[in-house]
Amino acid sequence: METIDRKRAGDLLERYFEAQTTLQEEQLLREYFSGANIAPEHAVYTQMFCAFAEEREMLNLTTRNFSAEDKFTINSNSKKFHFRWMSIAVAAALAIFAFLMMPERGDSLKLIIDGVNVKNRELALSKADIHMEQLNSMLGRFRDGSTKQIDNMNKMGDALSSFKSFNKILTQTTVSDRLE
Amino acid sequence: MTSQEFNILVGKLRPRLIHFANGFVKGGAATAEDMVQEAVIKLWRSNELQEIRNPEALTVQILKNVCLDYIKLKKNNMEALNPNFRVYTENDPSVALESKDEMCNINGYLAQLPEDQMLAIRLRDIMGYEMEEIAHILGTTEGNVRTLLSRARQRLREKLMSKWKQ
Repeated sequence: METIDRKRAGDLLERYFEAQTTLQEEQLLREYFSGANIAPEHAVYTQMFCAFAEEREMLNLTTRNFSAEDKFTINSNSKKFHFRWMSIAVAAALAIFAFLMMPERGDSLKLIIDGVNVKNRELALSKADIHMEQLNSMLGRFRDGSTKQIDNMNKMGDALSSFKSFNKILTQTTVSDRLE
Repeated sequence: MTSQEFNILVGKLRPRLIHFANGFVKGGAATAEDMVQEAVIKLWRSNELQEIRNPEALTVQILKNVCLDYIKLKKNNMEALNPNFRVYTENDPSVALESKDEMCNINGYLAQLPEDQMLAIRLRDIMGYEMEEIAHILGTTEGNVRTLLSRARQRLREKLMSKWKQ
């Protein structure tokens, strides 16, 4: 604890009443007035500085428990907070790392023909042409077959037309009989 | 700051804040508690809560609300806030005799100061805040705080001197 002499105390007091002292200087004054070596001309202020010191002490007693416990609480909360965000950041970094370092990341761009990966563009085109031709020929066969069937259906329709005229005659005969 | 952190902090800070408010509210501890509660609610509803990161800043914000409310209320309705408060005059001997005991302590002198001077001296000499912080709490400039403090201390000095001579 730093002690101040009579002259320094006098100077500090004048500055104190002009509100020019710092908090440290005001603490020095409180310590000076709590001691035994107070100059007679300064004794008049003892009551004031002692009252302030007493009030400060009471206030510190009220908050002492707080300082010890709550700084810990706040720090632990902030640590939890940082940990939570840190875990998310690590997960994101891992995902990005895995994406960048994957050697087969171009798989989605491959062309798979008959279960074989084809990376060569020309080969892929030629294979595609072959398959298209096969598809065309299959369609052509279907078309030929379907026209023959249609022709058969037409022939069958022609054959049935004589039955239709016979049926018409029968219907007319039945109606005339009923009228009679 | 989450609501849980806010509640924990305010719960721990409350005794200190009430002690401070009780120093200038003479309506009893209930009034001081009401003032602090009002200040806490006001802070919770304000946007400033997002910027608060530590207990000291939270204390300053609540004190700011308490002090500003006190100044406003005292200007509007001094008696309602402080029903036992009386301005003693040296010309009235009966009143001077009655208040002799009270005038013997510093709190009695502080009670006679204008509210902004009293708050400035309490925030500086008892709470130990820097000029800048007091200016923030009282909503004024640092220069004005120095003026308020200087006037308050000079008044206390005069009171002490006159008592010393008796």
